[in-house]
This record gives sequence, C-alpha cells and structure tokens, in this order.
Amino acid sequence: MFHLIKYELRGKLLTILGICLTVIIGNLFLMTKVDSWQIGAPVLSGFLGGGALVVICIASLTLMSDYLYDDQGYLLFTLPQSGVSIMASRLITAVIQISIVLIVSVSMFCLLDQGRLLNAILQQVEIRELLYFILMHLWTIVSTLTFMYFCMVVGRIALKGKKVGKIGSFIIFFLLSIARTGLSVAIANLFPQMVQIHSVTTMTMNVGSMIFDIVTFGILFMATSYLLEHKVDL
Amino acid sequence: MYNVLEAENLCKSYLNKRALRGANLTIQQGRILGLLGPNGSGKTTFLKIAAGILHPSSGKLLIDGQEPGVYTKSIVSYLPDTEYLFKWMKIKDAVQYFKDFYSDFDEKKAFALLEFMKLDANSSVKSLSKGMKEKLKLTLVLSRKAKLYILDEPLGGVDPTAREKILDAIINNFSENSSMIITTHLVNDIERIFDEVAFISDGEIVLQGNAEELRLNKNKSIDELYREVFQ
Repeated sequence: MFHLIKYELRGKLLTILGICLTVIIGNLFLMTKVDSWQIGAPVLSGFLGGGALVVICIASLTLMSDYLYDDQGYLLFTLPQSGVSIMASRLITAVIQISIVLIVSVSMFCLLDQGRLLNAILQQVEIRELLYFILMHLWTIVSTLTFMYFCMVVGRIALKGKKVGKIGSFIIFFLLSIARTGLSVAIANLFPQMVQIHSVTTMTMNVGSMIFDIVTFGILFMATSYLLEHKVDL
Repeated sequence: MYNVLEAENLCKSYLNKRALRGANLTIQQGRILGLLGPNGSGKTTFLKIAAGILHPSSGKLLIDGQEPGVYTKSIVSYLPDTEYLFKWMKIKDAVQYFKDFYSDFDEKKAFALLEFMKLDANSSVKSLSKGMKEKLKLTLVLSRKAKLYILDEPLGGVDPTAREKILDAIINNFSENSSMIITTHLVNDIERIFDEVAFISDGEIVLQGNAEELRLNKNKSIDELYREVFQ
C-alpha cells in the first residue's frame, strides 16, 4: 500500500507544486499591496487558498477517474493489491496532498496577516478543540472522498461508457447525497443527544448523526473496495 | 505436468454482444500457446479475464487452481496492448515500479534486457516510439519469474527487425517452469515459438492442438491453417 501512495504522490507532484507555487506567488504579490488593500488583501488571500483547495480536491478525484477510465487502470488493477489497499492508498494520498496545500495556504495567509488572526484564534481555542478541528479536517476529506469514489465506481460498473459513466456517477452522487442528508437529519431528530465540544461557546455535535456518518463511511469504504477488486471491468 | 490455466465454458457478455461463448482452454506448465483469431473473436477478452481485469459472466477460469484475484496477479505477468505506463516515468522509474510491486521481479535481468533492446534507462517513457514502448513493456513483463506470461499482441505496431528482437527475447527468457499465452495477427512471424495453438472464433475455441502435430497432420504451416480456418 505504501508503494501505491508513493507513486500516486509522485504522479501528482507537479500538480501539488504548481498549486503551492501559485498560492505562494499570489500571496507575495498581495503582500506588496497590503498597505493599500488592508481588508482586500487578506480576503483575496483567503479566496486564493480556497481556490487552491478546490483544485487539489478535483485532482484527488481524478486520481480515481484516471484508473477507472484510462489505460493507467491496466497498471493498477494487474498489481497484486487488494481493493482495501487501493482504496486506503487513494484516501491517504488525498489527505496528504490536500493537507500540503492547506498548510501552505494557511501559512501564507498568516504571513500576510502578520499572525493577527492566528493569535486571536489561539487565544480563544482550547487544545482539545484544535485537535477536534484537525480530526474533522481529516474526517471531512476521507468521508467525502469515500462517498465520491463509491459513486464513481458504481457509475463505472453500471454504465460502461466513459462519458455516460461520468454523468451517471454525478447523478448517483446527487441522488445518494439527498438520501444520505435526509437520513442524517431524520436520525438527528430521532436521537437529539448532543456532545458539547467547546467549554465556553455552544459548539455541539449530534451523537446520532456522528454514528450514522461513521457507519456510512465504513459501509461505503468496504463496498468500494469490494467493487474495485471484484467488479470493475477494464 | 499440471495445467497452469484451465478455462471451462467461459462466457462474457456485454450489453449487446457476447464476446465469449463457452470457451474451453487449458495450458500446461512449460508450454507456449498461441491464441489465434481475427479481430473481435474474443482473444483479448479471454486474456483480460485471465489477467484479472475483466470478470466472466459465467463459466470458470482457474490459474494455478485459483480464480483470478490478488494471488493470481502475483504469479501472472501480463502484457496488455495498451500504453499503460505513467507518462511522468523514466524507464528506470518503470523498472523500480515493477520491483516495488512484484516480489518475483528480477532487476538485473531487466537492465540486461534493456541493454539487449537498446533502451536507455534514463529515457522518458513519453519520448519513446511505439516500438520502443513495446520493447519496454516486454522487458518489464519478461523480467518477472512468473508462472504464467500473458502477452497480448506483443508484436503490434513493431517493425520486422524489432519483431525478431522481441521474439528472441521471449525465447531466451522463457523458463520450463513457466507457461505463456500469446495472441497475434502476425502468425507467420511468431509461429515458430508455439508449442500449442488454439484458434478462437466468435468467442469459442474452434481448434486446439499441438503445433507440430497440426503441421504434420494437416501438412500446412500454422499460418496457412489460420488462413484456412478464418477465410
């Protein structure tokens, strides 16, 4: 599995470098304007970071798409690797590359902002909250990508053509998202128990929804792994 | 000698097409089998099922007694007829890739074969011509000590000189403990290396036998026999 991660990161190296360089150069330019754009510069820096994250997330999705629809799939699916290995390596790669871009974007923002926002946050945030945010960052990437990968794989298996498969995957994603959100809301209403994250503010989390999300992730991860190993036809 | 590959009533259907209609085929250890047939006869479908990247609709295919999966992929060395190597790779990266993933990969043999094929390890994969890519793919595939080699059109798009080189590489690197299945349209060029041949037509094996016996019994070369079967 670690070899898979190594080669996937190597394959996306230029994309990651390109995005990071764009963020760095963009922020350096904004730093030259920070005196005249006192509010505009940090806002633009935020947008730049957000845009970079969107691009790297799309690149993470193309990781799977390339293997499902392009000739590279012959290289991956003839390796003696299980579906679980393939899925896990995909997710770990995505977490690493998204985290790299996030760290670069946040660091550049802090430099531009001269650490004002960071200091303000650190003064109010507790350590356990910081850990919670980091965990939530990882969880959001992993659970969202697992859900998307599942839709892509189902689309690929159910609809053989490249174009039809991709459109089908999007429709499956759309429908399943509605169903999943509906179920999550229903469970939250049925089991309204909450956990308080922050000791001062009212930041809370619904226990029922959280368990539902974890179970859904487990099912989707295993289902996608199974489909990748036993059902995908190239 | 045991059967490395056994296929029984193997069927594969797509939405509006039946690519395999109950194909039966066996390959013994130490034998090279030529799977011959015209375009669309089901050759590549059969090989893809054996390589574990396509799943049969019905029937059974066993490699070393097991259904295609993680284990069989570790003992099958498959040469597809696609350009499947990453474009960012240099030749030495591709060698390293195979070394990382296949425990039976022989790096020394790979570099010896690269030299034989006159390929520079520092060349970029995307800068190679079609023939050179074919040689590289073959180098990687033959550098494994696999139980079964599956070569799909190894001579496709390759000039006659390179064909000879590729055939020499196949013969020189084939071990008696392995088996090989090769598909090709260029029957005349390659028939000298076949121990067995199987003719496939419309998803069915219509004739299978020992290459030498077929030549003697029919008093024809395999190429002539191919033309007779598929005329």
